[in-house]
Amino acid sequence: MTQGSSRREFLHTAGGTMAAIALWPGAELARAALRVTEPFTVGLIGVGKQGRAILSELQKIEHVNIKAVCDVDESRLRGGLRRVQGAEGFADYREMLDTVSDLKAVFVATPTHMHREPAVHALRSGKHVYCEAPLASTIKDCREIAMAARDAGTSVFQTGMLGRTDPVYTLANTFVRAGDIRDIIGMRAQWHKKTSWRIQGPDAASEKARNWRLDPAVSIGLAGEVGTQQFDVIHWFARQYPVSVRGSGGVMLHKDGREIPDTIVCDFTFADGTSFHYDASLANSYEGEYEQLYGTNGTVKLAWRHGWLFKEADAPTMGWEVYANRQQFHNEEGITLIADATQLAAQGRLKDGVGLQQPPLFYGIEEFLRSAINGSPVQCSASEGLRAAVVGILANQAVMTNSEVAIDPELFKEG
Amino acid sequence: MEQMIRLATYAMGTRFEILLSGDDAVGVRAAGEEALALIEECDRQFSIFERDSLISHINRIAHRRPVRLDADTFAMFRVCLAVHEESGGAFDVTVGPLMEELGFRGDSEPAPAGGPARVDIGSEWIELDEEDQTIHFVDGKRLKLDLGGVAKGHALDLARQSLVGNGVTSALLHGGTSGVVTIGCPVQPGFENPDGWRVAIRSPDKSKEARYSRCPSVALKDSALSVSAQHGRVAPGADGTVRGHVIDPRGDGTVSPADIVMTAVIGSSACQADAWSTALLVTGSTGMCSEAFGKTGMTGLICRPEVTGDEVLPKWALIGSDGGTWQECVRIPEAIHSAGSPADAVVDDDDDDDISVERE
Repeated sequence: MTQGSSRREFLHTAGGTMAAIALWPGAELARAALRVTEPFTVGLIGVGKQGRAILSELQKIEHVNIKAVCDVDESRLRGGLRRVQGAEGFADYREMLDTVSDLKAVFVATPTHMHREPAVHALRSGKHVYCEAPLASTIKDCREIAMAARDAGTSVFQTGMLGRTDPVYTLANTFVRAGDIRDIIGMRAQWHKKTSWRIQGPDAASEKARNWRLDPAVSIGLAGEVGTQQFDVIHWFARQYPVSVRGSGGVMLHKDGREIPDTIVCDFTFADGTSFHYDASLANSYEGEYEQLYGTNGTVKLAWRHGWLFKEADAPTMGWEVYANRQQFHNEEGITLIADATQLAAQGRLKDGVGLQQPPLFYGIEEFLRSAINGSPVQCSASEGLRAAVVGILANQAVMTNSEVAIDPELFKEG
Repeated sequence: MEQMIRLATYAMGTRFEILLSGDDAVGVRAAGEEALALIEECDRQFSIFERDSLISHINRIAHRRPVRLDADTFAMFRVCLAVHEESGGAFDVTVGPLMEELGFRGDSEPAPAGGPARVDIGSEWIELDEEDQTIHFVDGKRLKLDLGGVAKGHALDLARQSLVGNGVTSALLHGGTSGVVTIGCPVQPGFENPDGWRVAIRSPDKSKEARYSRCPSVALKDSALSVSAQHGRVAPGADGTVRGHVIDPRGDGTVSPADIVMTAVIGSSACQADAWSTALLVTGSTGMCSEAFGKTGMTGLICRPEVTGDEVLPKWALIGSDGGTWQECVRIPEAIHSAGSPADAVVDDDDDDDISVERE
């Protein structure tokens, strides 16, 4: 037995349970699973890939009744209805909102440039609304949604930016705010997936509609469409928004006549002098998607289902480290961030907690329902959605013009 | 001009690959990517090694309450239970704990907390509710479903369905080379074959000269092929013997290595072929479920080792085409040829990537 394992064994057996509760800073973060005790009726608008994922996660929650599914694309609507037994299909969201009498909440997963109309309409119809991120593809639309959410009375609005509700990120955020990596000196994030972003359709009209991400008239490109989620993570952790962004990009692989770059780079500057480097590509899949925050005492790496803390050699030892799982990354040793660690440590099952028990989307939906049903505070408001979308939209503008664009804080205001 | 596009992804611990043809290369690629995305989605949904997969969720919850499923997943479970019943229990998706006990599973989702890790075995405890489209473990049974026997086939079926829906008329898809589905036949100039995609089943005898000379091949056209073999994965037994990876849920958890060493099933559904290739390997030459298999309308091949002098040679037999009786492959039926000619793909159940789709 090594010295390290002897130490762990000692702490675990000699009052280790209490020690774990006292030492683990994330103890208060473990939230009880949402329990819906009475039928809660919801509907979905937009049955693309993300809409289908929402249906799958909703199906897991007892008493949540998916009563209506809506999409203008007939084959997608059929696909959505195959996901849910007994749901009614609609081609028009207005008809759905008007005719399904006991609909309490709707999930908006239409293409980004088509979020505003159904989201605002649903809010004004008194529904709780979960809207996918980015909030919209123009700042004007984002503001309109944010104002409708502000004026919605008791209706809850949540932007689907999943870092805010992901248990691994919530835990990591506590570490960073507690000063465990000390002063942030820089940030980096990437999104890599080798795919064309092109989608087939049964006819030319359907194909054009499905390929909105490649349509320069409505698309906000990689920076807006996938970057916004990650920019929000950076804003949340750094507790500030960038003041400028320099962007560039090009079509490196998918030379099929597209104008939207398949590979981009963005460099953001913050008022305190820190910087954030971002790159995204549809031409390479290496290391997928993650965010990293570099501090003077350590680095946090976040990859949605997993998170790690890499300590500097001169950083002070934290008491809970004796329980930690560790993972080797080339020359670095990462301490695995585990969301429900206290409970697991008490049971001697810490290793079982590596990775989330549900996909990140599940927790976003769960938090939304918690707010809609129990009145819990909204974890990611329309205002947060507006601010992240503004950064995404301007970053895309910087990429498309190969220039530096100032990010005016006035743009973050709802109106 | 027809162009051949090749796309691949890593999923379910192996490599899935698609070869597809069409005159619109951009559109064909997009269709292929959508199919691969479905395979990746199946990986996320059905991996017992990921805590956040649907199957892990079912294993945690279904003993307490019914879990709602989408139509495709529900249909897959329906196939699992049907083959379980028809095979007399030889195919069983609850056999996972036995696999773990025998050393075939690493870091799958651990047993639920709150008491001893009591895990039950037996598909008879699985209840599918057709009306609500749910799955439930009756009597609070703590089952631990493992879809390793059908998930690849199910993923291939969904991928093929997506490709057909997107207008693809010529494609070959394989998962880890142990399962293949095809659409139409090869149409690329120079490689046309109106009989279909020729797939060779690699012999369990892995000597180089035997690799192609003693293996049967089949021309697949709008159909699926699944292969199960003992040599695919092995683990040491307590008595020092080597155990195969296909577990007999009805017995002590092993399959006799001296009996059937390889099975191949050809049918319209890869999911169903997957389940039956496992069941046939489990039941072996006792023929316990050959009659039931004969009623499925699928064709099966079994391979037994035969000692000839100093050599142990693979001996193939056909099952299924005449109501389920065994028939030695003396006369090769129309669709199944004695190989030797180049194949579009070679399959076995080895999950090693030194073999793959052979044609560019």
